[in-house]
Amino acid sequence: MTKRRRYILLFAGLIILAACVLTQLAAGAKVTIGQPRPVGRPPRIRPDYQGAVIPPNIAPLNFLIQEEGSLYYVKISSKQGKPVEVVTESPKILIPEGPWHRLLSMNRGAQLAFDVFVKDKNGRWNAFSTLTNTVAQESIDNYLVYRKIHPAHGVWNDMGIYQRNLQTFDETTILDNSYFKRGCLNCHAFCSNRTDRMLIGIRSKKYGSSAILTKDETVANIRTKFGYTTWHPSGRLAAYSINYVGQFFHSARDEVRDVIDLDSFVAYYSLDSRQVKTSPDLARKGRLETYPAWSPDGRYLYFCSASIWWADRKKMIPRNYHQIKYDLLRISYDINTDTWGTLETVLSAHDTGLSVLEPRISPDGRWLLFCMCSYGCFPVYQQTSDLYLMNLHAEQTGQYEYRRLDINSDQSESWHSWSSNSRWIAFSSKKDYGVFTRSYLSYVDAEGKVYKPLLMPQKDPEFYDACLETYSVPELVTEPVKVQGEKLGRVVRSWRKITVEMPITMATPEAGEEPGYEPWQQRE
Amino acid sequence: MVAVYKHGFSRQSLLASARPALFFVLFFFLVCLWIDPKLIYHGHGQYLSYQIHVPGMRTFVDSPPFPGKAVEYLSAILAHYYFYSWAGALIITLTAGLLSVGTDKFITPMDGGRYWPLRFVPAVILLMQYGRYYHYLADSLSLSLGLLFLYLSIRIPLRSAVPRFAVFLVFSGVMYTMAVQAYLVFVILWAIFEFFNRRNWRIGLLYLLSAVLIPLFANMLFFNMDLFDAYRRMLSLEPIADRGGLILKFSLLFFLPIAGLSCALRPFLAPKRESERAKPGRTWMFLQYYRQSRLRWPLETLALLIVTAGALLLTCDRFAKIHLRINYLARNKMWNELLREARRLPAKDYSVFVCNDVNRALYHTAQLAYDMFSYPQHPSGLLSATERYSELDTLYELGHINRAEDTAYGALALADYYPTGLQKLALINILKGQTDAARTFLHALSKDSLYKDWAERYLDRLETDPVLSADEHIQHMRSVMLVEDNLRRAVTATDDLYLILLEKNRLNRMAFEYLMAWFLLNGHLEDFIRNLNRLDDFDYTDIPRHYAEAILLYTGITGRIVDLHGRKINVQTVSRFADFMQQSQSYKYHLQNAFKSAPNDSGDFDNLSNSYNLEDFKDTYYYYYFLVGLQQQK
Repeated sequence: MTKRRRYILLFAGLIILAACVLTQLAAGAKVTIGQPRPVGRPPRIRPDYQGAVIPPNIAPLNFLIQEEGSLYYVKISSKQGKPVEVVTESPKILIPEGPWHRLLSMNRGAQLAFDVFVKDKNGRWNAFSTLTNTVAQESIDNYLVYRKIHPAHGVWNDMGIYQRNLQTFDETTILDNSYFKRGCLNCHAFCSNRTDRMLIGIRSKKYGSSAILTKDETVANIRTKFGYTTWHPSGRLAAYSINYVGQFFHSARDEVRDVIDLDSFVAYYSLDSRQVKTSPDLARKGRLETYPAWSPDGRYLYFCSASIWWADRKKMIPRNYHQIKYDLLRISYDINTDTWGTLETVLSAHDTGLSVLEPRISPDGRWLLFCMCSYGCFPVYQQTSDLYLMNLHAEQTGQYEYRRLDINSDQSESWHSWSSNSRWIAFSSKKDYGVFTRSYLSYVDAEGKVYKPLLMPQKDPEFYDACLETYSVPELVTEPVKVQGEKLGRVVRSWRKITVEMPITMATPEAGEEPGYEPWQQRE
Repeated sequence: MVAVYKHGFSRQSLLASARPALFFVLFFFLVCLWIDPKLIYHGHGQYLSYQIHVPGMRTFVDSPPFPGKAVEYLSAILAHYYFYSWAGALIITLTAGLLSVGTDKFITPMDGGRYWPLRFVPAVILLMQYGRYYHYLADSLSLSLGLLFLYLSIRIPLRSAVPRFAVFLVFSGVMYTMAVQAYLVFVILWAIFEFFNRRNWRIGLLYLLSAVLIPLFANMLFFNMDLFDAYRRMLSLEPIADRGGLILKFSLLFFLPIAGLSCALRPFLAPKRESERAKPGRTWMFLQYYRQSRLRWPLETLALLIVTAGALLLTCDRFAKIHLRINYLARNKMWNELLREARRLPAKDYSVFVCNDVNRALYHTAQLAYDMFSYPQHPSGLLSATERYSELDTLYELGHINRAEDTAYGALALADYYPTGLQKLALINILKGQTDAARTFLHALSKDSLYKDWAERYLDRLETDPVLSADEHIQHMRSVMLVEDNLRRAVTATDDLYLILLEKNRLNRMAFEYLMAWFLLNGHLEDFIRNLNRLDDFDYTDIPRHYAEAILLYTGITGRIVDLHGRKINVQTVSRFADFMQQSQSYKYHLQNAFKSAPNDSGDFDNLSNSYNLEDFKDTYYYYYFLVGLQQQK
């Protein structure tokens, strides 16, 4: 046989082989179920998406069927459109993105049925009860920005702020601490769910504490430390807290870590004048002020406040630290005249018996979502922390009605944010993975009913099982953050900074000074 | 067959292959038996800072791309197999082999095969690095890749300069992005080869110039990182343990350029040698005889093997090895071997880590109250105020579960992947009833072939019994772990640390022995005596030797009688104490003079204690109390 003939034969053989494989694959995609045996219960799946209201623009909800079988067939259908079918030998159901999105977009407001069939070892198909979800009418904002870090105690190494496209599984790094010698970054805040105004708090031994301000495509470094930050809806100023933090550790409690503010106040930074200011009511000497949140009309600043009842202000942790409880207050503000009104108590810790924290108001101004926990200022470390919803439109009655949400678990729920259409919330919870905080999405209807939360989907349904990182401060935004990576990193490292003078306010530091010692500074 | 022998395996070629074979067999055994790579694996996160990666884990995934990430990734995967000494030795030997072959391919065209020992130098340097427990595998892998590219360029018959430069640019780009650790060396080697072998100075200069431009372009196209960092990474400055590490690191990297340059410049010195050859003397005659002698091969090979072993023996860090070995034995709970190893370590080389491990070994072999002062001790030898990862196990075993958890998270955050920390965190979360978190740690561990069985066993058991109520170890730990939160007392490095454990469970034997040891180490005799009645809670048949010594000392100092609850002190212990007191009376007089004459010279104390035979009492508590305590005060 000549060499040429040998090659022709080999080539022909390869074509036949490829044809056989493709035929087999095509045949495998079509499954004849015949008369399946009804199991009489829904299949056990992980993550548990059953019964949730899902965004019409969410990435495929891939899941794992926790039923023994040799072949799995899942049919996803709704009122309109071609059903999506998945046949696989693996219990991992990976839903194709294109057909999934087509099906969802055609069925806004309709039910979505998941029919699950599993072929057992005897070759017989078992039909499980249908799993149903509801596709919401309203989309969720396309991006979620969060921080990822190992459960950090005294030390950390890698951490970063990432953005996830919720329509796909794409995750990109906005900024991680490898750009600035493993410092700390957090408290990312956006203006009205847009990314043209962004602030990120940076703490670095080498490069100092600063706030990275993104305004359109330009980035600046403000030489001061921003704590919890909220943008005025005009985008002209940002209010933020300055916290003198005391971290400590419990010798016997489920959550080892704990944090209290030994001192704090709220200030605001004006982008136009590049000045930091405060108001006497935002920085009372006998009180701790934190977690500022603007109302969507920009007329009120909500924040949390607790009294400082312990005498030794320099001492690390007061003996009865578990009696520190925060009230929810608000103060009116006129941005045109830069004047503050009178202080009002929205919800008193005295009345609730709990510490009121992290207020966030829906963009339509109707709902105030907040946390309450047994004490302190850091709900993510408090197992008792739950989410509550307050109806702000009921203020005519003189009473702010609020209720604990059904979506809470016996673990901590915290770090919540609203979507731009006020129909979705993203929040952090430890409900399924203990110390590992994950991001969840919940639908909020017009009446303020909050539906079963959806774990932020991942391509691999087993992704979270072995994921040793926590996802915190999930912020919903409508568009991706465009300024990322080295462009931000370069500004963090830069010596060119906007210098600001601190106003006279706080009990502990003097005017013009940053609060001095902080435990994290020692750790870095 | 004959023909094959003649053409394929001539005697010369057999001898040529036998030498490297012998060398690498010796190399393998030296690494496997002497260096013992499993010590490197177990020193990870404690003594040695490097990354371990297990395929399937998310380490490396989230970090943005950086030059050399591919080689670091490979190095981290290979480091995982150091768990088995033989596998680690194989990896190191194969790397050395690659370096040796690469060196050969580079040097041969330069020196015509004249200086054969040069081929083994990188391997010997690598051996010396590991002899000092410097784990710079990424450098060696990167260098091997660079040599492979150089060899390929030599083999590709490209006579024209332009395609040669194009090939260089491609390889150079790949080197910078994947294996930046040896990128600079790679460029220099290409330039040397171009200068001296191909005699094209312009192309050689272009190669060197590219070292400036390629990082710039690669950064623009792929990395988007700090430009200074993009250049700094070419120097491969991380990780460097100390000056010795720096020297060995750069010796390996820059040996080849120096050797290459030396070989290339040799012809310039040749005329002198030719003139020397013209006058044959005795040396010349001898060399001629030697070159033709049958003894030449075995002698040179033997010399190579001796030099290799000698280089390791002369430069190896024996104390680092003992430290790592003690750490390994502690992690694997091989207590008797640990104590044997600790006895080999001079007192001055006892770190607090070693003290921690030795005391833990003594406790587990029921010798802490009897023999702890036979080993060098330190007031912080039990636990210190700031937890280190070596203390993770001690805190856990004592019952300080939350402190152990905190320590383990610290290790996890810094080491990225720290399997023993993950194991402990899984157990801690099981203990605390946080099964969901425990499962996450177990799932993560199950991706690691070394811990898969362990993790899956626990995962299976959690399915049927989420709190593991039938597990003996878990039940014991639940009986000793703190359940009442106490912010102040649990974080101190004082007796409170152990007292709150005994308040929780007075039968916590480890807490009791550590409490008493803490009193002894810190000279708190009153507190020691006050807690002596706790002996009744345990099944001690006698008064442990060190406790008896402390009681005698206390009585001697205060004149007070101690209630022994019906127990008696061994007669031998009493008479030994009497001897010590007698000796120390004279000693005390001279000691005071020594204090006056040389208040900063601790050598005087040693001399004095030797001259008064106090060394015989070195294993007693009162020796520690008077002499070590005094020296530490001083």
